[in-house]
Formats: sequence, C-alpha cells, structure tokens
Amino acid sequence: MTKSLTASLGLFWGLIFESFLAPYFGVYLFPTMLATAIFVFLPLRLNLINALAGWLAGVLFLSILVIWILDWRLFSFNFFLHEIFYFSVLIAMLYAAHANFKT
Amino acid sequence: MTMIFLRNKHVVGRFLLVLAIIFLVTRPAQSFIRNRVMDLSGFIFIERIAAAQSQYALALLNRIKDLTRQNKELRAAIGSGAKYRIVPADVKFGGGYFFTDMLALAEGENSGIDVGDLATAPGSILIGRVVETGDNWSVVKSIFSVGEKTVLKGRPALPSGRLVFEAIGIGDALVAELPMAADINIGDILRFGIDPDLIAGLVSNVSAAASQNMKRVIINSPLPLKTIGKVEILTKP
Repeated sequence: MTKSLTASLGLFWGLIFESFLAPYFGVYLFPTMLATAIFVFLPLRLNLINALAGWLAGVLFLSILVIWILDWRLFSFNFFLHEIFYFSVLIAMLYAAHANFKT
Repeated sequence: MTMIFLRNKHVVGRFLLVLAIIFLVTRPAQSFIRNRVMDLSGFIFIERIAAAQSQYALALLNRIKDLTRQNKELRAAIGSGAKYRIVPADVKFGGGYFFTDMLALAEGENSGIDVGDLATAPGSILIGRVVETGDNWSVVKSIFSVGEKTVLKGRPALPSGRLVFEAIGIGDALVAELPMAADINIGDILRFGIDPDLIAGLVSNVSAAASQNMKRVIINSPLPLKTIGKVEILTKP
C-alpha cells in the first residue's frame, strides 16, 4: 500500500512535466519512473540511501536521453540546474510521502 | 493545249516555276511558309527557343517583383501594411527552474491564437511558438528549448547577412556548427530565418568544434525567459 501510493505520486509528478515540456514522448516520464522505482523498490534499510540512488539514476538517465536527442551535444548549464531541481523536489516529495504513508 | 504541253515538256517546268513564284509573292502564302518554318525550327533550334523563353520568364519575374514593390509602397502609404495581428497576453507561469522552456499564457483561442503562431517580447524579440491552445490559455515553447531546431540569419547590414543556418536548442541557448570561413563574431545579432524582422538571439561564444575546420557557435537570448511578464502573439491578420 505504501509502496504503490508513493510510486503513483512519482508517476503523477512525471506526467505533469511530460505534458508540458517533453520534446519527445517519455523524456521526462521514463527517468521519473526509474527514479521512483529505485527509491521504492531498493531494499536498503536506510531510506536516505535509496533516495540518493534514485536521484542519481534519474539525473543520469535524463541527461543521457537529452544528450541523445541533441545528437550527442551537451545541454546548457541552466538545463542541468533544471534537472537537479526537478529530481530534488521529486525525491523530497517521495521521501516525505513514504514516511507519512507508513501505517 | 494539252498536246502542246505534252510535245514541249520543258515548258511545263517553266510554267510551274512561274506559278510557284506568284504563289510565294502573295502574303498569305508567305505567312503560311513562315509558320511552317517556325514550327520546324522548334525541332531544329531547341536551345534557342529555350533561351528566348527563359528571357521571357525573367522579364515576367522582374515585372512581378516590381509590382510587389509597388504594392508594398501603396500599402505602406495607406497604412494597412501589417503582416500580423498582435494579441498581447499575460504570462501565468513558466520560465523558472521547473518549467524552464515554456510559458503558459492567459489568452487562448477566444482571442484568435492558433497553434504555430509566433510569440515575441516587445521590441520584436522572438521567444517561441504556440504549441497548445485552450479556450482561455495557451502554451508557448521557447526556441531555445531542448531539441528545437530554428533557422537563423545574419544581420542584413553585414556581408554575413547572406549567412543562413540551422541551430538546435540546448536548454537556454542555441548551438550550431559552422565552417571556419563563416563570418560570425561574438555580439552579432542573429535574426529569425522565416521573418528577418524578428531578433532571435546574440552570438555569445565562438569556439573550435570537435571536427576539423568547423567552429561551434553558441547563441543566447537577449531576454531570459524568466524575466518576461508580457508577450505579444503574432497571429494571422
């Protein structure tokens, strides 16, 4: 119950940005799903490490997707800041939700 | 009579020759012959006819150009030379760190905004295109957005005015690879290729590209997206 609620929250966050910004289908949705899945299903006792692993995987996957879209050119620094903000807020939200959904 | 002709056969030839000369001297006969020769010359002197036709086409094109210029002058004189109808719109959100390369506007189809219209800041600075509309809202995607391709043009006053190239968006800038010989410098104003009246960006960095004999040009917006509070949508008149 806790896991599915948290995962659906992450999916919802990804869908909002997917509908507004995605240059191609799934550019925001798939990295968000990956980050959420790693946070929710990584079986480590310390939840902060799961969160960090999800954040890192999300940022890396989104970066690789965008570099691929740009024909192997690097994106700008502002876009990197955007990625960091995006995944930080996502993971903070998931962490708080996971802590509060616990029964 | 027939007997005379049959006896002196050389007279027949002379008689026919006189008939032919009389025929040729008359005007309808001349035009008939000339027309047939002209028809035939089409097969014989093809390139000459093609040249004549191309000259004719060139003359027509010049005439059309002249008429277009006259039309523009007359329209300007009357004051109805507007290319677009301008719809001003407030920005609801967008342009920060979350919605980096889009703007949500408070005007939509009810104001006549369509998908594909251009959005500019006051001062004819191009921001982006409308990608989505509703009744009372619309979404503008920046030309600097990731993966967006835009055609740019150099300043008309410089020799680089002839420079036309495509650049790709990388977040908040455009990047393009040009040959080393291309006349482009830091600070040059680049205009939108489809409508050169609109400013697309400023050249902020020129460096060597990964491949030889190419240089990488980075183009920034004169206006960061997060500073914009009001935009003008250029719709069809």
